[in-house]
Amino acid sequence: MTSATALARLATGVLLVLAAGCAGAPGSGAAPDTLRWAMGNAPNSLDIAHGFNDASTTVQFAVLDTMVAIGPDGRVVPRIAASWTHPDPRTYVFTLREGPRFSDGTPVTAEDAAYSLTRHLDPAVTSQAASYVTQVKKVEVTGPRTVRVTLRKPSPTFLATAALAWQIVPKKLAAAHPKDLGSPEVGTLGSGPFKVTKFSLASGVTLERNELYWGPRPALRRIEVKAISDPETLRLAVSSGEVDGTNDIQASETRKWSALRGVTTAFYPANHIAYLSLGVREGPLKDVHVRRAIAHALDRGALATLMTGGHGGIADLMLPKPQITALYGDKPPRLPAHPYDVTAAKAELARSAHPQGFTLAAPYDSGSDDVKALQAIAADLAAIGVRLDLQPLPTEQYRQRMFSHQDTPLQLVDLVYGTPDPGEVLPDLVSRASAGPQGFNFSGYGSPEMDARLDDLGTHEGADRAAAVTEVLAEIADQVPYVPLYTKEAAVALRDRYTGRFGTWTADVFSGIRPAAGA
Amino acid sequence: MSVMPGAVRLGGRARRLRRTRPGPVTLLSGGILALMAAAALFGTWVAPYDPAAQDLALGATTPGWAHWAGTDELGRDVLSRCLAGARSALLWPLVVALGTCAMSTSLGLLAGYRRGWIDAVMMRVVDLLIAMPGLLMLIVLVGVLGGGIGWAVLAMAVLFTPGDIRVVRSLTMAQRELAYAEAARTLGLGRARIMFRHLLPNIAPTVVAGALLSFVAALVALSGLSFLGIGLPAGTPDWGLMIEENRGLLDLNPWAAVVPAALVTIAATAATLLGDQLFERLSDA
Repeated sequence: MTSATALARLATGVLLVLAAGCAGAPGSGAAPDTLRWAMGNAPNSLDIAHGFNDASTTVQFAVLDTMVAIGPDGRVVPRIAASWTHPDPRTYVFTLREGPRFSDGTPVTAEDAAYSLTRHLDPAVTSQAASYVTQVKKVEVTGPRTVRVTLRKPSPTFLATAALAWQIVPKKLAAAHPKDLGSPEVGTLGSGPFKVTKFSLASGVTLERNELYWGPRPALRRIEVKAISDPETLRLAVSSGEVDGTNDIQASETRKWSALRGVTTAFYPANHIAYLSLGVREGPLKDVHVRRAIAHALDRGALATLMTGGHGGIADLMLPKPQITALYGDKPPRLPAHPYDVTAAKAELARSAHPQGFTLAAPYDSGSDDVKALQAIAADLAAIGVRLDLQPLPTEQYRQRMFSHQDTPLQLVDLVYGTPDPGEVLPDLVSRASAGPQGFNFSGYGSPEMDARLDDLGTHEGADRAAAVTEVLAEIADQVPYVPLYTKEAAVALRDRYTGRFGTWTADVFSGIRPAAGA
Repeated sequence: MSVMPGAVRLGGRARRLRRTRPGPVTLLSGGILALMAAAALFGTWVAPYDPAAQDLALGATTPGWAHWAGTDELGRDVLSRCLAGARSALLWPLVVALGTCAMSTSLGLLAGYRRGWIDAVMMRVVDLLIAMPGLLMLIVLVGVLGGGIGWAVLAMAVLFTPGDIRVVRSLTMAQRELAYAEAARTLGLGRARIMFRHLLPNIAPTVVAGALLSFVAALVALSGLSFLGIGLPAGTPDWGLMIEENRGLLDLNPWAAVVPAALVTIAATAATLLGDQLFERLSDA
């Protein structure tokens, strides 16, 4: 009968989990210049065009150089480009440094650099990073070591996005493999600190030091990266010494990581924001009073504590904290806020067309940590008569529904951005172009006036730009298509055999890690 | 007036059942299930707190006078949620068990009694369904259908039915050749009457035991689905969901996960033992 089979399967599953958790420290005698790293997912591609996700980019940035990079203070610094000029608002001219070679010994040329950017605009490549380079009109090789980029319109975000998406690959290899560069079958070739010696979707990636690297010699000789999808199993693997470290730590789990013996967990501000998206196009959420009522009803302080374990805080503006700091320094603007106030929430709801409350569908990814926050939000909203119908969906189905923008009146969105410039976030949030399928404007909010304002952002610099961004943020705060909830810190856990230096803008995690003194 | 052999046997069984006193295992397992059924019916009334009431400032705490099984990460009382959770923990497996029992008994009787092409077609479909890995199919089906307890219950009932059809069919095939069934046919009784009035009572012990085993399997499988986050929506007081939600609290309040896990185990064990006892008593009678 079925019961015996089901019980046996369940028991087997439990035993497997226990076995994984109780695994000893097989590598306790491993050389300290070999690092065993674990992440929640294995990289799916070593090319950002086909693997634009945390696991894949972690490896990509260790293997591939970018044209420029973001320095520890958030400013753009040279990398393969030794320098650049900005002769007019729409033009950048990059001069490549002398000496970089790919790990097979081939020199990095201006042709390689130019092609590495233009390929993202090629429909045949179907690049996942295409939206980051839409402002690029033309890329030309103007000399043996110079590349000129012409933009469609002035864009202060261009350099920052180039630090993320302009990964340098050999033109010959990339042109031969538009769709499968970076796959386990094709692999990749970079001029970064490490080279790939093994890549499998199942067992992970093995990297070795690139002896031809033009920059400082990496302290690690070999890195073995594997996937451990269950957070608790991952924690046990680091605790037992089965792996040496991870950068895949959920903020709400930080308390447990900090308590591990023999493991140091470093925290730093993440370029992150979690917010509630309110679909403004139909239903009760069309009414701005309803949206303001929801914003007032949420105890965001308690929510931030729950979700960040003290390693984060309330989000006041619809931008990640590092972007706010980069733009405003330590004096962010004070905008109309909707603080936690149930009386005010009820008053706003009473002014709406739905004074008695209503029920809203709230689909969520059943495999995500966000479900905890959604339950807290549902309890807060129930206090004013707004009931959430929480609908668990498998991850893929949820993502499809989320990006189809259908039947998602209310959802919790949790995003990490790649650059210090608000120009990366705001057009995604409130432009009408992003309100369609695959866009990030989940609320559907937008207007011709807002689009014009967003277009105008690129023409300003300095204080003018800050003022222009403030105008956009003020409209969001007033109209509440989104409710900023909390920001959280990122964390890296390392066994004490290693030390590391990490920050918000650390792209290549591995180059910052070295064996501890005496290890 | 003629008396059917089956009717004579049933009468004797009933008399003997009345005479035999239930053993301690039956009493214990029956008592546990009765207590759980009471919790399912009245749990929300007797729970010390509202099972949904959150206290984020309190968070996860160990057992104490205020909260006998402690609280979870959202500050909800674990004991109250366990009491309220008995409803979904028992109700949905009961629906699966009754659905499975109704489908497998009807189809098994039909296949076993009619034989011929009906039996052949039905058995090939049964073979196909049995060849599929049950729990895996369940996860895939519920995932594809978009999650939700309704689909989970329906899919589970469909996947549990084939095994039971095969059992009922073989018992029916044996019974239909016995003298009392032959006599019924000779008397010109209709097929449905023979199957449900005469054959069914004679295979009832196995059907009842099978239903209880389906209940146990559904209890464990639904807890597993809730654990995987594809059964009931988050926040519902449910033992499987509580295990999933609270497994990360083993260092803060292990009881938040251990208590619902123990309840699933105890309920499954009690139902299995009761099924065994009932089968023996009904068979011996």
